[in-house]
Amino acid sequence: MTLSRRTIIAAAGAVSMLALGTSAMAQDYPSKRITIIVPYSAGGATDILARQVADSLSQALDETVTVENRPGAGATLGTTQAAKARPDGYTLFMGQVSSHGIAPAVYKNLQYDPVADFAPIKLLMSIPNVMVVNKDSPYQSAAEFLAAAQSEGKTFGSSGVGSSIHLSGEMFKARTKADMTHVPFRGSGEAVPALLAGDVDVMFDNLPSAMPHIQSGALRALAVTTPERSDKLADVPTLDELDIPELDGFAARSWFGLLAPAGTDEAIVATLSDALDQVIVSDGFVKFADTRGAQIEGGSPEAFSDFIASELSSWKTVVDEAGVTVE
Amino acid sequence: MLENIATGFELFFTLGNLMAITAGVCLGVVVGAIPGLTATMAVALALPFTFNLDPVTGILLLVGVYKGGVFGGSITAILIRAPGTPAAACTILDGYPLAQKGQAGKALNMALYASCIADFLSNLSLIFFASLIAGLALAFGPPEYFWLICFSLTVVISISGSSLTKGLISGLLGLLTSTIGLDLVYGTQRFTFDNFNLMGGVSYIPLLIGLFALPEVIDFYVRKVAPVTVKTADKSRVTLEEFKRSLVSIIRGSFIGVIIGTIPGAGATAAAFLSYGEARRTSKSPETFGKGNIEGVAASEAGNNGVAGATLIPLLALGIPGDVVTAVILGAFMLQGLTPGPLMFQDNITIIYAIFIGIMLSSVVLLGSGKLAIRYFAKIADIPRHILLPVVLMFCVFGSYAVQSQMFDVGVMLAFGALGYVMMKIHMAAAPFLMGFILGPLFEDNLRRSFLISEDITIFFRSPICWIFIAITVLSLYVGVRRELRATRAKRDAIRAGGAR
Amino acid sequence: MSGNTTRTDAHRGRRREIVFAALTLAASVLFALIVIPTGVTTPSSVKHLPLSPAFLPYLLTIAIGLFALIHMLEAIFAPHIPGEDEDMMSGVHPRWKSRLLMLCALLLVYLLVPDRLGMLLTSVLVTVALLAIGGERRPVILLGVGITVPLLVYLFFAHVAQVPLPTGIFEDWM
Repeated sequence: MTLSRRTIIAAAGAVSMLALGTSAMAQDYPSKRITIIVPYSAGGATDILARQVADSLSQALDETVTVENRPGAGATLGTTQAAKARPDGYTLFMGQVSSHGIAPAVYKNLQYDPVADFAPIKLLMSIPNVMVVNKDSPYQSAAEFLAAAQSEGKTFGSSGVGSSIHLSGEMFKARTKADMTHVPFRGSGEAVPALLAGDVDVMFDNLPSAMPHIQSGALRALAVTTPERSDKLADVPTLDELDIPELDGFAARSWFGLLAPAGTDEAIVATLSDALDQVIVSDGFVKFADTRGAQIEGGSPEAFSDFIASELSSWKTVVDEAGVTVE
Repeated sequence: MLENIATGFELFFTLGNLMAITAGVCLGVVVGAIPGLTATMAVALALPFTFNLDPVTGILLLVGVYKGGVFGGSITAILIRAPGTPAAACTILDGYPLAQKGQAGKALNMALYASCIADFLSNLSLIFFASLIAGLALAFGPPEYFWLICFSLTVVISISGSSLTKGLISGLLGLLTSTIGLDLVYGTQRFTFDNFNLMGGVSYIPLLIGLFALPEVIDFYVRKVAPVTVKTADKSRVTLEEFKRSLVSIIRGSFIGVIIGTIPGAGATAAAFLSYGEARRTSKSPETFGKGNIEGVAASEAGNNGVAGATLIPLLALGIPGDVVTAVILGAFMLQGLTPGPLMFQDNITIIYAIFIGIMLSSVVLLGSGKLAIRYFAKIADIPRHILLPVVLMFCVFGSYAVQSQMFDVGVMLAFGALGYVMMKIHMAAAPFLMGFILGPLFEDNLRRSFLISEDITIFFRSPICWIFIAITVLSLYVGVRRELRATRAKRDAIRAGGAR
Repeated sequence: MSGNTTRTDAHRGRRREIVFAALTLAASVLFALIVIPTGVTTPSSVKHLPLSPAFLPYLLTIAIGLFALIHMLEAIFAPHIPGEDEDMMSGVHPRWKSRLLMLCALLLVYLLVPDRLGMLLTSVLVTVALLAIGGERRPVILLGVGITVPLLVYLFFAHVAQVPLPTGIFEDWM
């Protein structure tokens, strides 16, 4: 049923393209409401970012941009729907480390292809993960923690199986052969209190949710998981720069970027890419990124494609090393 | 300190802020009243409007929407048995029977009074005891949480209706339904049978709407004559005597709400049921609960609104969002460059005071806009059933779809509607099912987390909080079961006596 | 005479409860033996029994079976209480079978048709049909309520609440 409709639409699209020429369609763009699909429920980090982008993008394009939440099955449901949307530039997708990094490595029977089904537009921002312990924890550095974890069992909290927080921990565990038990929660909002209360020993949390507690002194940051130090935590070392051979080249971060379904006109992608260049330097967006401890990224659609490819392969390595899969 | 409060007052008393609260509460009441559109969704929808407002105004708008939404849910729960928000599910138990007796006006007004009082008490707790009770949020680790949930599950005894064993089976079925989806710890499939739509579990709102609202629709078309149902609602009022009688339940419910609200993740629905269970347990005439006892409406609404102010306690005091709504509000704070938590009390104390003043006022605004909303919504009660029910069904479908924008959820709603209808016919209470479904994940997650954290079983007895909840769980089980058995025996004796005559 | 009806009611009620309990018991056995083993994937290495994904489902199923058994014993041995269980068939509409069938058909329409026809048209169709089944004959109400209300609710959900309701064949007009 949907197939036949899609065929008709595709045919109609082909006919109109022949009649009008591709440029005419792209020139009109945008002529109606644009929707950004968010594969998480309203109120999450991805949703709030998407609403910020939608707000700025609608000013840049002079057309309404709305956010549509399609949560379920750990972001894979919404991503599948976005992959199957009509590639006319009016349905966009807020991609992130889960949909275009971790999920393809973790889920065995995924219904979308993160590369073939999407036309990347722009990498918007990235967020480091930070290795944090309770302020009362005896460990002052990642090395001290590691030494302890290799001799006795430790627990690490996460926001759920297959999250970047979980996999950063698994990556650490797999590389160092530390004895660490994963304790999953439902979202960072539940996991951070457990760390604050001392129920779990360590967490590789996303910086935004850990930041307030690092600032207030309730949590101690031992290391960041990105290759470079974060501006927000300039005195916190990266795992890579520690003198531990197993952790060389350790890189795990969360990121967000806008994509379109594959087959979207290149001119439309270019229009959106230009508009997003304006968006990411706007005051509102800079302030937004700053409050989250995020790094604004930018770059060309091609660069974003390469970035996704590298993310896919590096998470695949982690998942294989750690042996995490979801049926 | 006084100076800060004065500055806070100055910061608060602007036309914009007053308008933001009023608009927020009104929007919340309307959106909250619509099945499927929850308070969370209303807050997320209002979020973009706050981008260009100043911090206090933006936050107050969101808080207003949230509080309005929590009350709004009770309106449709009472009138058409379709809870507008999940937390209002418990209000159905006595609210809808009252509406069927032609006392919708009374039920709605009591819901409003209970909501406003609970909201006010919750706000007071937020302002005066935030730092004191914020510690509770961290005192509840997985084992403590596990026992809290065990205690909450004993409420099932109170809401089992005519047969205790059937009620318990219903609750167990709800628990079983909650295990559908990807496993929390291993990520393996449970009863999903490769269906992607089920991997995140059965959606809560379609289940809720199906279980409660749809059976009414089905029943109407199967019955011979439409039972004389909801009559003109405007005539009935809450009497002073009824209010006095319910006041204890309201205050107790408010504080149950405050405590549950402070603990991240527990939620307003559980608070409402706990409050309801307590009200019934301590009542002199527990058998009238579930058949239209005004105290039941008061208790459940006090429970869920008591949560509303208190969820802000861990957010403001510790920077921890306890649920999705507070996560959105946290997002709004951060967009404004503010970071809730201990630091905010040092750096931006005037903003906090301004927000506190606004929040206090929101209870009053809620009373006013609630009164107004009741006046208009109560007219629903006058619509003939054969016209009303097709529209109710439409709201059920739209609302189920709205949750995740999926037709699959409409199917979920219909399936649980069928189940709800069967349960209605075999006199199996649906409320325990819902209770089990809500508490199931919390029960299992915390049980398993406790085992992950410690190999040692003694973790379940590690703190005084554990022991307190173990004690009241056992007590509640003993008292509850004894009471139910005694009630059955009394009924049986009465029938024997009647048969002999 | 009234004593007689009470007794048959009690009989019938008792039998119904026994049937219910027996069915529940049978279902729980089936569930434990077939559905759980096929439906729950258990990883090979589980440290503690309660950590297994199948632990709670088994526990619950056993408890359900147990309570079904208790309920059955109760229904057999306890003097049953008639009266609180009104007869299932009392007060039904004379043509309840055909009405239920029509309702089910319309519910299926709500489930299957929106993707094709769009949510608005579907809800108009079903609402008008249900109004007619409910006995409404006045065209003003039939069409007035049947068209205006779905339209307003649709517009509210789609444009105020921004819920992407299926547009179906009207994809480009909405």
